[in-house]
Amino acid sequence: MKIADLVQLDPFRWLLPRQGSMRTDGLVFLDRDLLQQVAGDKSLEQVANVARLPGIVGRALAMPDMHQGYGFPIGGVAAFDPETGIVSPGGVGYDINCGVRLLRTNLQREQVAPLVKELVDGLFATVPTGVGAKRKHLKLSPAELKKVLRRGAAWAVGQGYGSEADLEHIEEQGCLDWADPEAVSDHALERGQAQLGTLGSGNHFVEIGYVETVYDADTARAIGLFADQVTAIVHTGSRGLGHQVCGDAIRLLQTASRKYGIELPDRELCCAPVRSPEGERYLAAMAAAANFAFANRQIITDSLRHTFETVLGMSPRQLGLDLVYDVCHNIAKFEEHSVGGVLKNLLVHRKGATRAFPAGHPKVPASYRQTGQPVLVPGDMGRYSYVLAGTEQGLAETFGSCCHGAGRLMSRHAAKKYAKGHNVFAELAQMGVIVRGAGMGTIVEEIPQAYKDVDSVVRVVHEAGIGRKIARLKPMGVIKG
Amino acid sequence: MEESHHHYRLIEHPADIGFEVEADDFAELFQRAGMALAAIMWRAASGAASERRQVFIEAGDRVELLVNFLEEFLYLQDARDMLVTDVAILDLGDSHLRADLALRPIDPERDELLLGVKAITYHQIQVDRKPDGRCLGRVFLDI
Repeated sequence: MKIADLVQLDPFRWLLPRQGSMRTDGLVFLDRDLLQQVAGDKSLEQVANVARLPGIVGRALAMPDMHQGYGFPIGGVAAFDPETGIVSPGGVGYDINCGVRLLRTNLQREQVAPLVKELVDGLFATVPTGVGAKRKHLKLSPAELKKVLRRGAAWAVGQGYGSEADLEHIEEQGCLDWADPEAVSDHALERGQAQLGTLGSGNHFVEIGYVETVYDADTARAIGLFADQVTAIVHTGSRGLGHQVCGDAIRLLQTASRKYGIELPDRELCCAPVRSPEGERYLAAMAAAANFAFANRQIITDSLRHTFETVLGMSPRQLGLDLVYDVCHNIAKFEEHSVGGVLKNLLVHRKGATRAFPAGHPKVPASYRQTGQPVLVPGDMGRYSYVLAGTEQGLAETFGSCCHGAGRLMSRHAAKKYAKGHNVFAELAQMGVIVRGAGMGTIVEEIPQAYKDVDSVVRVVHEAGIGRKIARLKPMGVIKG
Repeated sequence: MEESHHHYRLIEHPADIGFEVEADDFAELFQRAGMALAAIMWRAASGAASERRQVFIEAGDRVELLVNFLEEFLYLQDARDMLVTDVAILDLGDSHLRADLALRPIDPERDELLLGVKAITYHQIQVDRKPDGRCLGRVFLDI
């Protein structure tokens, strides 16, 4: 699959016409520059592969931050008919319910700027980071861990990590109620036993920033954002537990794909019918891992709030560290969408893509029913992150989905090579960002230059109308895994 | 590609990383793949193994065997806080593997984490014999 196979529909839409064993067209949202950036990888081929899967409804989609992934491209979205279609762990990813949450404060940038280093140090001391990071005092018994897997963020709130009000501002209220902890392997449970409340490694982070630009003052006000306001972002997922659930499922579904006679263009797209025992087992385990991730972000949020209270010497009421929203960007969920004018229940896979429902949608919390769901798009650790809102256009065209980040531009090896001879910490400090990480390796691999410019990604989303810009945030301090 | 004295080559990927190993036979290939993964993840300080663990894996083919074998390393790291310091392949067939792993506890003060690996993937994976008779293994890691 090459760029020459694409048909340009408008400046931001490229059709991948159905060919060979594809069951439907592909549609990718890119401008010419972003298209050139994926020309050398296999992401277009991966869109075509997704279009070959049984029971796909509508087009195989990719968002403007797309790049090569495993099975689906990163940025991939596809919906399947639950009666005739499949579920694939390759459409969710290894880090099940990796996601982002945004918190606002009552604080102005100048109040916090002199204390950013203390905040970063405090966060680094209280949020365990790195690949095998653990919270020793939160090592759960298998029975308690299964409660987490069943209840998600509500379990954490029940233990005193946050409040009921937080739950209202989490996608699915922080719990997929079809989770079954009994579908999760012992290996996965053991990997997750002491990892709740930990950040992990790779591109995960906690960031303190501020609202640098407001694009839509009315919507920003309605979701509690204003210029120069201090914000915080938490980006992490289901840790080793989720990775193991995905690995277990890929093992199981390799066999299931053969059993059900599904021809696989890529082993990472192994799958099973949604209504098969194997498909249902994966969905039950995936939902359990998703609930672990919701609880994980909730507990890290509690550490973040305590760190702010300690460093600033303020009460929770004074700080106003309230949750704006928490979105999943690696997930498969049952949702109702209009197909040819008829409302249908579909299994929507989002792999490195964010749900972006518009104003008035029943799944959007009451407080955002007039504005549309806030969509959180982190960029890189030196430049910007965005707050968007979902649109009717997105609901109609992308099953209510848009991008999830900037998308990588350089391989990790290339980023390391690029960073040789650079003082990464000093350069970030020049950009106004204080960074601490579990290892130098991760920081170097995650330099801003390793990512596409999130401005160009969000511009495509906004211009194509599948999301609309509300505000741009600028980082001041970051802890990395 | 980057050659290493641990008998593996690193391969670029837009977001992650892969490695290749070669060997005279499949048992040696699996041994080298295990040692490669250990070296990619950790710069381990010197220290004797404190424990040995036998693993027995059954799978549909050699590709699945290799993925499942390497996933065991991630489980040992996350669930048991253990590093793999040596690998011996005791028995390897088309659909089964028995290996002996030498382990010791991770010492956060002395052992340096080089790369946080989330998962072993099937992306462009290869476990094959080349025309020259040598065995080739290729694995991409989700970071």
